[in-house]
Amino acid sequence: MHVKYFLVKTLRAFLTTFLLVVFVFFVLRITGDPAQAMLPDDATEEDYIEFRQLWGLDKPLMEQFYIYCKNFVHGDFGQSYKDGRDVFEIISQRLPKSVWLMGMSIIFSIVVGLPLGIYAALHRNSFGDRFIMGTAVFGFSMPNFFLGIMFILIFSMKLHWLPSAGSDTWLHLLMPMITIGMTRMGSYARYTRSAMLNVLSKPYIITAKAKGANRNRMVYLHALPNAAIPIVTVIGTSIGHMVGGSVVIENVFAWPGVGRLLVSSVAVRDLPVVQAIVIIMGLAMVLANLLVDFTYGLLDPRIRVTAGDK
Amino acid sequence: MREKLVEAKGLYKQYALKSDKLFAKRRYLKAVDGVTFDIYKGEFFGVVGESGCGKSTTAKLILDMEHPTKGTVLFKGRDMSTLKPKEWRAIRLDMQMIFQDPLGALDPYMCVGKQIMEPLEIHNIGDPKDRKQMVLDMLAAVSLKPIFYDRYPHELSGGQRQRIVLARALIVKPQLLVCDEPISALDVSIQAQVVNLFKRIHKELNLTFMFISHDLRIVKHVCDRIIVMYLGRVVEEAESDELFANTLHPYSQALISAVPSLTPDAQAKRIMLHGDPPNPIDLPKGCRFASRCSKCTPRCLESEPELVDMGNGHKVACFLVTGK
Amino acid sequence: MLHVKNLKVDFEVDGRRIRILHGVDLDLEEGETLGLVGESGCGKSVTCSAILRILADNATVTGEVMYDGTDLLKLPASKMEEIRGKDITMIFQDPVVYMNPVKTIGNQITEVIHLHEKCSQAEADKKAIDLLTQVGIPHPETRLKYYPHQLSGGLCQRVMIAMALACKPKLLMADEPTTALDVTVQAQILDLLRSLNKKLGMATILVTHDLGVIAENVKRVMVMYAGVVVEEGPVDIIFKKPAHPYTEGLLNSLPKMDGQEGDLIPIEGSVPAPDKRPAGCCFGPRCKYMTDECLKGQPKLTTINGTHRCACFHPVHGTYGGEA
Repeated sequence: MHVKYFLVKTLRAFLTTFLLVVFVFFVLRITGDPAQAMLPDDATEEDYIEFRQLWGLDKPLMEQFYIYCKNFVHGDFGQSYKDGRDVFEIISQRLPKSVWLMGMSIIFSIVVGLPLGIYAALHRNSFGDRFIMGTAVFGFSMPNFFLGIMFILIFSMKLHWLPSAGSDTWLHLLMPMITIGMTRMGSYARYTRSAMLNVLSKPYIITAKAKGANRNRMVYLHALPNAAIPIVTVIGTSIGHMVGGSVVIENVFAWPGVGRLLVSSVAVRDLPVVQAIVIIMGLAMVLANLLVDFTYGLLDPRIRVTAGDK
Repeated sequence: MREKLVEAKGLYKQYALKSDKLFAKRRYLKAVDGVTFDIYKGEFFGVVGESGCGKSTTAKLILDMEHPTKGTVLFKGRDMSTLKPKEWRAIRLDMQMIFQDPLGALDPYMCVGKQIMEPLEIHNIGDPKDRKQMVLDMLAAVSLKPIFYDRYPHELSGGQRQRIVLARALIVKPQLLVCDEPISALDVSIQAQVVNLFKRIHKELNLTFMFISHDLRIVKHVCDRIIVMYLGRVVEEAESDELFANTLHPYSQALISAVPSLTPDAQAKRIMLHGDPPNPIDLPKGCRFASRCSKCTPRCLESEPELVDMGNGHKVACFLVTGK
Repeated sequence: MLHVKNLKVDFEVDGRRIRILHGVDLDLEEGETLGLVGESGCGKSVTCSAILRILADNATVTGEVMYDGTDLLKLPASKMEEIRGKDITMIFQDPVVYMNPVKTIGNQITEVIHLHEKCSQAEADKKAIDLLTQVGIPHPETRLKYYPHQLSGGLCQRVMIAMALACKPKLLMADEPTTALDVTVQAQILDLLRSLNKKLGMATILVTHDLGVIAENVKRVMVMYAGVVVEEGPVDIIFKKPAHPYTEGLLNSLPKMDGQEGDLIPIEGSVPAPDKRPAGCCFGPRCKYMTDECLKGQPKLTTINGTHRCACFHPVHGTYGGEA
């Protein structure tokens, strides 16, 4: 096993997380004063001082940063400026909803995108191929909030088939899931198609054919495991974009997840909440990338096992 | 005494390897591991050996495209690595090179005439008005008609492309031409055309060639003097005729006998080597050919033989031959 | 055993049909070794791939490939899959890229066994170990768990041979099996193929561009040029008295290992692109014996003497037996 490979990747993930934590702290403090946003317009000077004292905003920046880091290491994200509730508690109420939506969107885009890509590769230049690739381009060139609004207009307002807001049933899930998944599905289909075409033209596919393997075996046992290597990379990196995109979509469909919470918290400069959400999202991306690196190593023996024995 | 154009003195080139273990000792690939030779002016100098023997790395060291880990290269008596950029550029112009893949060496979007002219423009050689004529003369020298001036690389055959690369190298009137497997990618019937062209240019321009190849038939045919390399070292050095008539090193013997002859059913006297050439990493002590040598003695496993002159410039690195 | 008649292959490229193979006839007896020689693009590899029906989807194959009394070209795909890898097998030029990089050696060998025989994984593994021993790979048990990138080119080619031999084929087609390998390793692989051929008695088609490999390894040879068989016959006759000018040219353009100085005699020009074939004899424009008669059409392959056949109006040795 290539221990060093996995170790280096893990270390890099930690470093990224640390930089993220630092970045979030300073950027949020540079961009505006929470007291101004939180307190009513007619607040007095005393109110301001009191508010700042209450949340430690009067301390020097570096000291604030130190406290923030210390708490973060202990898993303490602080309290909301708005209602004093524990940030961790607020987020953990919302998080499952978001994870659920994200997860289903990812699964949707993979389950639909990959087979479409494989089909297109195997029927290259056919009508089906052109149609799928056309749809794929449509999918990832359409801004997804616009797609979401169109869906609401058609399926909720006009046809009354699907609910436009909330998260109670499977029917509620359908539109936001497809909206988020659509973009990714298009790009997965495209990448799968080109990866499969590339691999299918490789000499070892001819070897498989010469051995007497039938078409299915060639495609699924020989080509797909090789094509999976670049596809996994694309999926992993796109999960980051999906997390970002879901913030908008949660608001479009009034999905009670972290994304909506983020937008409402930014509006009132509820720093601890914003901080925590941005960090959690960042962590999700770092983890997704780490997972990709690990899967990549597992899929490709050339990374896992070094050349020796020549 | 003939004039030396290139003197390679005790060249070493190591590449650090990425290790897979966390705290493992750094390992090195010893591509070139103590190589010394001279190339005389006007000589057709051959370097033969199998993959991984360090022949291409040696060429890069000679051309100062890579810097040796240890050792020096003198070109016209001067150490390239100590020269100031301006001097370096001037003297480097006297060394040109061509490689195996002519298509990769050519710009696909520039007509070949312009590509041959480019070195003249870069180094500001000749009157701009005369340059086109110089290119056309050069095309004629490599047996291509003037109409090729406006062609693009993809319109040419492999042999024609290699001629273009050759023309581009020759237009600056170099003294040394380093050719790394220049004909390996060409078809058999084309190889002979290009080989004949090399020979003619060698004679007409009194150019010095360093010709690297794995094809012993061709090397035998064109080269005056040859070194045989194995795992980063020179194992034998001799005049071409001497080397093939009186092969001394067991590796050279095996290598020469492995070349299929053109007489049917002649494989009887072949010396068969076991295994592939090993990687030049973690070499055991002793002679580096010992693991594949049929004549290996206990001494060969103990220490490494030096290259010893056996008289008339025939050098060999083997205890069994030198006795030392 | 194998009778190929009038085999033609067309490729469809950018909506155009380009003929690569122009009616090849080939007969092979049980246990015989046949050499196919020619330069790149002459159709020697395409011939083999067409016999095994492993050409890409844009190829159209017509003619007749009679194997054991059945026409392989007319077999349904599933029947053909039973023959591939079992009765007729093939090994390729660059063994490293012809092996699936994400599957172990063992996995790739046992796959063939499972495809054609009913047996347990343990039995298949045991068989794979036997095969690896047979092709001269040391420590076969541990090698089963290796991936292709962990083995050298020579070892990979041995694994490919093991795969090809797994189900005791009647015919093995070796497409440039040693071109990507070093000379000393080439000698080993050819030696292995010869001894396996003797031991197992399968017929072999050896495809190569190297006349030396042909001279030493086969009894009968077919010389191909631009998709046509131009000469066919026993190796010792063809090497001594080539009838076709192309064969003569090829032999002249190679430097010999024993003696012979002076310039090589190349074949002028280059192989025509498949879509730019000349009218008349395909070799005409490069042939030094060309006459007006050669423009009339492609000469048929006709008997010169015994089994020696040639497709030329003016053979270098002997006379043309067909009509113009």
